[in-house]
Amino acid sequence: MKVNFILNKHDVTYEIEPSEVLLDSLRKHHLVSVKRGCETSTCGVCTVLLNDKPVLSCSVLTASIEGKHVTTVDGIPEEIEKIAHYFGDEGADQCGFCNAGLALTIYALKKENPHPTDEEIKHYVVGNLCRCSGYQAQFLAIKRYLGGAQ
Amino acid sequence: MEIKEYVKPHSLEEAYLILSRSKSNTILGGGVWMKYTKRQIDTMIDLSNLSLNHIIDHHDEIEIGAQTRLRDIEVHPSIQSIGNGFLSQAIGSIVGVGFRNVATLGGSIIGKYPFSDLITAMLCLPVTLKFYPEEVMSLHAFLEQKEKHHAILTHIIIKKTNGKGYFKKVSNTMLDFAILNVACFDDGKMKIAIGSRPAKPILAIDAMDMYNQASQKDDQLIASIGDCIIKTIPCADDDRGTKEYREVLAKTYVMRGIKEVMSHES
Amino acid sequence: MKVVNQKIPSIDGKGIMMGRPAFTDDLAAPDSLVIKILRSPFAFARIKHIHVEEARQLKGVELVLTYHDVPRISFTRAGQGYPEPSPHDKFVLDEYVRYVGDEVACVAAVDEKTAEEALSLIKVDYEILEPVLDFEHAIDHPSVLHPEDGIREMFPIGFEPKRNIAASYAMHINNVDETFKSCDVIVDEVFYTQAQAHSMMEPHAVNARLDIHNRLMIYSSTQTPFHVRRILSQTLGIPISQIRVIKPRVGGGFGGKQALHGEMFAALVTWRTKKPSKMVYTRKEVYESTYTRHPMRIQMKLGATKDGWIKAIDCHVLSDTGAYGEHALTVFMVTGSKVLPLYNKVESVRFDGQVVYTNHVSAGAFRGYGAIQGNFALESAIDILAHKLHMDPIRLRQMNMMKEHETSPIFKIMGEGTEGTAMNMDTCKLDECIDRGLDLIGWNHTYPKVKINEDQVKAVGMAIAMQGSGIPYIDMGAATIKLNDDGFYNLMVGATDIGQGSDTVLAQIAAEALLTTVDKVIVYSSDTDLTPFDTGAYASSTTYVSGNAVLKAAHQLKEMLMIEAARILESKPEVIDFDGHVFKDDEKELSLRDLSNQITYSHEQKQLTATASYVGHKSPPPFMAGLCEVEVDLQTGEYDITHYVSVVDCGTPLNIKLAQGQIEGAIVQGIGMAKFEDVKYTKKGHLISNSFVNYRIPCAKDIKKLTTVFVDSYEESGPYGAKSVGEIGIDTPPAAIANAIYHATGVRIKSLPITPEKILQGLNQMKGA
Repeated sequence: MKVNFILNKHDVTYEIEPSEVLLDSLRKHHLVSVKRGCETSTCGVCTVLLNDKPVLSCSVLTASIEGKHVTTVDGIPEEIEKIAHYFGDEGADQCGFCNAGLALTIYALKKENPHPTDEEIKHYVVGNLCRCSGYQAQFLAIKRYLGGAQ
Repeated sequence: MEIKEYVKPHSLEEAYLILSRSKSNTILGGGVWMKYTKRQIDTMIDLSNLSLNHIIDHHDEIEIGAQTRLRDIEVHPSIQSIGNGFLSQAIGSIVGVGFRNVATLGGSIIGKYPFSDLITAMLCLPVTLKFYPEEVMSLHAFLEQKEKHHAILTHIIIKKTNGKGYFKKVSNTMLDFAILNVACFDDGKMKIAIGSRPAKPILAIDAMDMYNQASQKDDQLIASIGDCIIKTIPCADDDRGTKEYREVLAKTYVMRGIKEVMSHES
Repeated sequence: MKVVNQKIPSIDGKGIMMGRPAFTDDLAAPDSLVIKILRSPFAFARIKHIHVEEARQLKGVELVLTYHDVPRISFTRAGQGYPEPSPHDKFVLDEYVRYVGDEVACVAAVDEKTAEEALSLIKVDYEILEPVLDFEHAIDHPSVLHPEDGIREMFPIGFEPKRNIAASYAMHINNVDETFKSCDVIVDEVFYTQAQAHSMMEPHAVNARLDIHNRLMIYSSTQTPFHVRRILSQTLGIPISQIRVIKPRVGGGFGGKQALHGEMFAALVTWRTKKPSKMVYTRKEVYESTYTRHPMRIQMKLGATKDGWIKAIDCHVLSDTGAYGEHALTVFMVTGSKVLPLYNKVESVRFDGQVVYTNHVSAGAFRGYGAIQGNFALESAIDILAHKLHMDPIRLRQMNMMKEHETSPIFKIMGEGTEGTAMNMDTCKLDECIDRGLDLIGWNHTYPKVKINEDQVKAVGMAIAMQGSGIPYIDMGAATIKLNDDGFYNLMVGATDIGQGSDTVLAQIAAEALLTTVDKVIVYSSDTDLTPFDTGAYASSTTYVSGNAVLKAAHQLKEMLMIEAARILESKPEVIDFDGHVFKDDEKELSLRDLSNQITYSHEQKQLTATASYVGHKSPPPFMAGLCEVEVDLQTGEYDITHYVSVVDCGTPLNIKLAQGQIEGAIVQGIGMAKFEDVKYTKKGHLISNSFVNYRIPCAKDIKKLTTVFVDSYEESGPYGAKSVGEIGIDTPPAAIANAIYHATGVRIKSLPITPEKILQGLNQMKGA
């Protein structure tokens, strides 16, 4: 079957199987910035934005996104470069496998709640697992991106 | 999970017709848990054309469409104002925002997941479920039902009531399933629910009666209620905790919950 | 220092976050055959018959392999120097399957759906055997995991497969039993540490293709590309010159990719079908069919005088290496060699034990590599001793621990595969680490505990640790630097960046030596054709070993530059001043850019390149103090780690933020192991913890406050004074937390993880008593 949606501001049409999930559809179309980390909707590395909201792309049936907007890091390079700058500055980027999904979550946070408390930041990004960094450097980078602490 | 066909009906009537045609036809909730299954699904029925994704605050009740995403419910001001935010807190403790922007309230309730944090909290509130074809029942009654339900869950109604709420999830990490979860809500009548025992959430009826019928709501009463919890709430072993440990958690957090929400007008 | 010991952002973080193709599966050939493995449903069984005809006939299936179809040459999957200290006890496919998830057959098909359907068409008759599931009863168990011919140890490691023993070792210095007789106080305890799973975010992945030279080209998510190349060649009979292994970006390893995973299958499939192939592990396969940490039982006995002088340490280890013996001997030895020297003033020491086979997931390398297990036992025992002596545990440590310029006879005796290397601690700032740490955690305000309210108490606990910096006389790293026109450099290193930032740090070393900036040093790493040799990212060797190679190469190239500049300026190298951009003598000057363009295009053209290698003659340990503050709920046993302080002596931290990241990431993994991570099996040997749902790792909300400080230290033998920093962070949390919990509750937990339920049980037992 076909599904029409808007990917990174471009109209696209994908030929898909009904049981296909968005993660696999995107990677099949060479959007390798979206990654698979698990099969149980638990790790968050597959996060993309669906109508500007962070979603687990492994858990969204591609058939269900007719007419919706999908954003990956490839679609918002200037913002991602900014986030990457703060991550680099805080040493928060290690292996990088979780970074693209996390960056989209952070971008969505800034749009949804531009001045969150520390608790609200952690609450928003807690579903993006990281095994390398220990989370603290990421947190400091996020605060700087949001315009908070030094 | 294999799906043969994917349809988006334009009416509940049409949706119900397709659903009734085969046991292998199913309604798409969020889809988060569904892909775990090795199920063969003939027809996946997507209800997004049917305007079931909304939260409406009527004066005396809040109406939530079954297709509404958990995250939207969590942050809605009307939901946040219930029981000083204990329902929002319970919903917010489910995985992360990426998960809650996919999972729907309908899917979470129909699944009757034993570890469900939001079912435990909702059991303490006056919650009614509306189905198509025409059927209305309380959340409590739905959970007690043994047979599989064939109607389509369309709306969840929370009757507004003033009171304090409490929710506690005990877990190894902040993302894990609960070893046990506890909710209390007191709007004049104390409600206590315990879930992930590891069995599904239930109301602690005996403990609630003990509290609501007592004339003196003092520390001694609360201690007796703690003991009552251990006697009347069945817990069991699983990989996350033993029966005995769950009993201690249930007693401790019910007592703490009651102390936090009890209205001081006895 | 202008470039090292600075805060320099990584050279690759931005590109990765922006989504550029970087990881192994991003780089697979588009028409790759998909490889799926049929895996054993039994913990121990023998394949009586295996029927694959139906699977072979399925449309879209290109190849099906069983143990009848693959070379019968034993090898070890462990990525270690050759000859490996791990037994060669693995065949590509075997008649026996030794754990639930072990490989039975290999299918390559045009897509995933077909491959999975082919798996379901394979019929296997198993003879089910009684599995060995309790490592404390594995030796001489009637079930022998490795009865087959053709397996061997590469040199004596105590390999007794008929008894289910993969390796054993014993050493002693003087006579502990005699010394104990003269001690006033004895502590004799048994500790258990559990298997931990790496849980790196990127599942294991590999792909293979034949290039235009008909050579086998492999991309693998690996920590040891050169070892992979050698092992493939030796096992599959493909000349090593016909194999190229490239490590692209790796999404985390921590030791879990320091051994082969799918490379053998991808290589075989592509070599035989001539088509590109790929294998990506599911998360379930990562848990069930790769590696874990070695679970251990450690008996730790300490003897001391009543004044607090520790005179003897007696340590017996039983380690469970699972179905195959990767890293069996070496992890077990590090449990002693990188832990016991902490208390070097003892009169006598004994360390011995065995590593046994069981029908569990194979255990292998995991950050800490035995030191975290040994540290839990020793640093818990030290606290127990302190309390028995009615002595402050800080004071006990300060009296007995290693100090700068001291040594321990253990270094000479124990290495990572039998002999070690004697060395003095040219740098050891443990005393300063402890002092700073006590201050940062507010030890004196809290020790041992402070009541918060009726139900809650706050307490502190600590532990010290050491690790190593590479394996002396074994680990070799090399670097090549070449000068380009326009005056920038290419740095080629075999060293393996698996996310720890080695590409960046090595570029910093080169830039510092060449007096330039990191953007002028373009790094290319871990390609067995194009980069010089390096043993790989393990044993905390990259900064120290590979870094020293880079430093040597950079100095060599600088000398060559000076000679060229002297020639062009008609001067002498000794009078020329070079600031990284311009060469000057008293009269003339020449820019590096002009020099490089001249020698590339116009006059006396030549390519300037320098290659250098380095092998360590010692392994200078980093040291640290880990201190934690906990808040405990006495009604439920639940606890939070509210503050974890790490004070580290790693010599010069070459990149301050990346070093901090290594410590913090490791601390959090250590906290996970201490608090709740647990590899769990059913009674039949099926893995329960085979997904992120049932194996939980720490999340952002679990981590409250981490404070990380580096003390001033300069290790002469290290590049710009550096030692290693990659592993040491993981070692202290289990003991520090156990000690804090003891201070809070009086409950001593001796088995990991330290769960609220165990604490509550302990509290109840104390009430009952």
